[in-house]
Amino acid sequence: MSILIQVLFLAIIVVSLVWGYKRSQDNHQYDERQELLQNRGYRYATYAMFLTSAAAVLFGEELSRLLNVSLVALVIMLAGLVTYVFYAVLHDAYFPLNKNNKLVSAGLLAFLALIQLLVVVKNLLNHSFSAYNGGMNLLLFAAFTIILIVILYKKHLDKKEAKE
Amino acid sequence: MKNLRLKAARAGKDLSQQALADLVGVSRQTIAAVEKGDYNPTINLCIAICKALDKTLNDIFWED
Repeated sequence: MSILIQVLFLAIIVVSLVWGYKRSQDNHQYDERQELLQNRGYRYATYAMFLTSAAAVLFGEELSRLLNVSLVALVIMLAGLVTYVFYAVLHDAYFPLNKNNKLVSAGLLAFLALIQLLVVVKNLLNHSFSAYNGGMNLLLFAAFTIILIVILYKKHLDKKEAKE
Repeated sequence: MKNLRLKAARAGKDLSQQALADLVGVSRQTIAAVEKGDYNPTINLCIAICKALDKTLNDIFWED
């Protein structure tokens, strides 16, 4: 079973690398300002991950009562992801040039967040919620919800700007 | 510093920010950022904007 998971993990890595390479070849997706701001977003995401990692080391004892090791790793990754998306969305550098239907992305995120929320609620109702059982879903729900709120807020700002 | 000459040249051609953005292949927000002075475009983008507006680099981007 563990070999199957390892093979699956490697397959996901390979597919991600191929997909990332193909995307990097298509240089018409984002303009120069968007690429500049995305790079700045990656930098801030790295800082956020450094800070979260440092906090995890400093408060390791306290955190170990609440979270297990894999959840701490997930928190660090989500801190980077949310920071990048937050910065890129607010600076109009998240969606490619030709992508007009931003609400589809918001809908997909809402769907993913809802699935995570259902798992959390199910565990809470069964009194089986713990860091090991539903903890990951709670963190993912929080991350998806934050990203969703930022996308909707940006949409609202764009509408306001268009009216002006 | 705001680039009012770009705004005037665009308005003179009766182009919206989106229309100019489509002509030069960038996002509307990038054109808005250049006009507001929030973003300094590369020379390639400056040339593309000037060509789209039938202006020279001096007309749009040179500070007197």
